[in-house]
Amino acid sequence: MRKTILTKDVLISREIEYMIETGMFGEGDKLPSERLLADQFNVQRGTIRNALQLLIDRGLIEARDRSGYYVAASRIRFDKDQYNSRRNIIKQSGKEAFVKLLSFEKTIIPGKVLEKAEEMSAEDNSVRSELSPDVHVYRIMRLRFIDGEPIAIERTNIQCDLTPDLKEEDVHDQSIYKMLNDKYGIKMKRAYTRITAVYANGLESELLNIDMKKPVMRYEGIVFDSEGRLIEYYDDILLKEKVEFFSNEVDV
Amino acid sequence: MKSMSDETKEKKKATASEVACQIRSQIEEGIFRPGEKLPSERYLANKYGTTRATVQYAFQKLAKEDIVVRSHGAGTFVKEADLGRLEFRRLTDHIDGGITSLVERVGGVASSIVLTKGIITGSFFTHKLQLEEDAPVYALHRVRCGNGIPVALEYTYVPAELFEDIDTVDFAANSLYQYMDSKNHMPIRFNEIIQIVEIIERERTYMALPENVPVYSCKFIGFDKDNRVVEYTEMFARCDMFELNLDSR
Repeated sequence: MRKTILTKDVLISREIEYMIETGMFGEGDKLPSERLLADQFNVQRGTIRNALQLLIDRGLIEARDRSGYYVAASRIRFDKDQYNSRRNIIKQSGKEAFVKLLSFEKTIIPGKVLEKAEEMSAEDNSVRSELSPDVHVYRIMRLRFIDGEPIAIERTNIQCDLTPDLKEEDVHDQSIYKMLNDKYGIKMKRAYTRITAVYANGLESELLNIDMKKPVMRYEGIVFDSEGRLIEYYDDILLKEKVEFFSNEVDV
Repeated sequence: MKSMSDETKEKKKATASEVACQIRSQIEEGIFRPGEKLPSERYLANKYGTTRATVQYAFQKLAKEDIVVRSHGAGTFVKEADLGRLEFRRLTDHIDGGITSLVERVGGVASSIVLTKGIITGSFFTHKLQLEEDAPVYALHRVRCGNGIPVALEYTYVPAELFEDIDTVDFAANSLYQYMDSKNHMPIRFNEIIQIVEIIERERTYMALPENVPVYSCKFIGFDKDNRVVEYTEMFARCDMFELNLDSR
């Protein structure tokens, strides 16, 4: 290796990242031992350990006690430009999706939800949310699992007028969007979404099995159907380590 | 009853409201920039033909309106633009470069601290940039600031062969994209991945980031008009200073 402005541990971590990205080591694969890597890169084991620590910090690999280093599970990938149901996205990632219904109620729209929906739709003149304060919504809270682990709390509000006779069984372990299409002919078309970081509260830490105050991803959105009607406002909390958003303008 | 001389004085003298109005409009016109020191009370009193007390009163008025900040002993300053939360859909969609324009759009001043720059090699970088495995890559690591406050950390890698004199450019003050544009290799299309992550201690220090404050991680490849890969960047932007808004169809 040439003398360079970046330190050896950084450069080696990048070489290992390259091996993971190009599929030399796949999801869940064990990496070679520190000793082997030290030989391969011709550096001290301490340098390798630092390089591996950088990859752990970046969430690319995991250390397992007395066993070694393994390539971390890949993230669920949301397409930034194309709105889709969570279930479809997870299926496309080749993972097993399950969603558990936690609560289901019909209620007058909460003031906070009304405000949020108004604020988010105010960003663009081409969409208008015509919500009145006395509109009724179904408030649905679900817990999303991937491969048996809870990864998201999904809280959604769906306008009752457009979805009469929505039942609990309609939203248990199935795609709400698919159900809306099948039962009501509502096609979800366009979403304004916001992605921010918040700290897990008591309920969230319990349901997601994480420490209180741990940073989590908040994913909110208002969704319009193909006829431009505001159907849904959602406010999800996700484990930030499990998801990413991507956009590809160029095919490579 | 007022004497003649008092009346003429009152007519000539600018009132505090008038002085405040003058200064306000000069700030709005950008004659005085955010963070800049305003002229002294004595100077302004002279200029507007009034008393120092009146100028003082005008300053108090502007301070109440949150337009200026008075610092005891140091003078009166135009209030720094409050960066608030910089909203982004894409950090790269403006001609003069992502963070620079995001900061400038809200009236802030963008600058950078160059942490590291120079030629490197390595298959990770050459693979990202679609170069031969041993091709030289120019690395530029910067802390991006708004009004002098670190808002993001950016690791950028570009093909050294496309930008031969890049090492002579002062990126503390100049925009990388303006430079790339001048070489006819402005990135105009991007493939990107956005996550929310926590960064390591050393990086938190660069950004003066408190522990437990997460950042947006944006990794993107930039393509120029000929679809040539001209940059690979990993950017970390403070979640408490930026807000990601998307429009998905």
